[in-house]
Amino acid sequence: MKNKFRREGFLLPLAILCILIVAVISMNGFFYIQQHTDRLMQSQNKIKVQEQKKKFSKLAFQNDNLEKLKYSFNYLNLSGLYNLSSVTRTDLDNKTHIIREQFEILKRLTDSCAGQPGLATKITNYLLNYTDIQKGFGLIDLLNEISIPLNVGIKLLPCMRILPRSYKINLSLASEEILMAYFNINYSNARQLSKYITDGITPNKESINSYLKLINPEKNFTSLLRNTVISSQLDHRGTVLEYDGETFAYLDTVLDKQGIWVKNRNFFLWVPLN
Amino acid sequence: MIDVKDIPAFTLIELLVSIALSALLIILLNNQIMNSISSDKIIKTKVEYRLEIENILSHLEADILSASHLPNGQKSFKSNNLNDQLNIAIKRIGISSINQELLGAEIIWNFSTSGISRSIRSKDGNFARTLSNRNIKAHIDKIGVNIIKIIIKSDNFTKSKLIEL
Repeated sequence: MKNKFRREGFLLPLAILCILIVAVISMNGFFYIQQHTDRLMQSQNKIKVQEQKKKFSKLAFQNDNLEKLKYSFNYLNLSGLYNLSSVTRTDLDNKTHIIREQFEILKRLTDSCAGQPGLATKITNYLLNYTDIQKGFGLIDLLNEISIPLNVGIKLLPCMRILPRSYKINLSLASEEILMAYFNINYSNARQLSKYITDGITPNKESINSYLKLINPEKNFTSLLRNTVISSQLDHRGTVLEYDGETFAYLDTVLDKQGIWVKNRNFFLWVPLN
Repeated sequence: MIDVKDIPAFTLIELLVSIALSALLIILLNNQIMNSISSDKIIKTKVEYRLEIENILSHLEADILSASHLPNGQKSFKSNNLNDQLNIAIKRIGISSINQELLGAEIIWNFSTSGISRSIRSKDGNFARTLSNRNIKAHIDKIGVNIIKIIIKSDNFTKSKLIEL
């Protein structure tokens, strides 16, 4: 009896020691778990954003209706826009030169679309540093690279695009404004030409050349027409994604040589998570 | 009258030994607790610093993610590494906080012994912010064509992050 009582008497400090050690370990453990949980949440949110981006990016390749009513998307035809790659050419020595005739077109376009013909020089000087334009480079990228304020640059979006040189301006899908600037003709002639192309009166480059010769007999349009195609087939389109009426992404897709739509450049301003 | 000899109890020696043991334990515990508190403070400082650096690297990654592209399809990212000082210039696209319009901006990151700073140049104005005052060394290793590894070192801390360009 006496020995048992003694043993129990020594247990108290040992128990207090154990409790204190456990308390200290628990405090540290709790802090680490708290930090880990915070980091985990951040990582999970990041993954969720990436998954949402992937999901939205696929919308550019499908024509299905969106499941949720708050989402909407619009397709934009970009094949009729002027391709900025046409402004320069690269010679056999790998040197890049400005094509005067195309530079004048660019001046007219920047003037009519943004009211700033001086932008043509800025754009061309930038493009002179690059012999080849690859996929994955959009007009917004170019405007940002040459530090043109995007509120000005955005006015150029309905007029021009930037893609490899093989993507030519599709006259069937070009607007009157583009035709005016491209062939340096007035609005009524451009409207007439657009109508002729749509109605099939001028179905090919020869007939368009003949029509243009009537307007301006002294000018040779052959080199200009070399950079054009007449087709109902789209080769470049944009998809604008909206959530609750607010634009959150712009997806730029192109038709590759194999006839498959591929991603060119996606811009996500923000990503709706619900 | 109760005979005290019949009541079970500790002897004086046992009590003294018990008190001495308790005192020893209290001293040991006190030291342990003091050490725990001070190491907890050190760990918390390190964790806070780690989190600070991780947040800065996440911020840098977000800038790179939103960077505009070059005609070769790669991100508009330039870095300059000299004597443990690292400068990164990124041209990125975002939304103006003033009028919510699409905005182009040039972001300059500076990692040096005086700390980490980030400055923005855009049509909205020029802004600069110091994100850390700690003495650090930083450099970039190119891992692949499109992958870089940014390494930040301080006296007792090294943190690195792989970022896709």
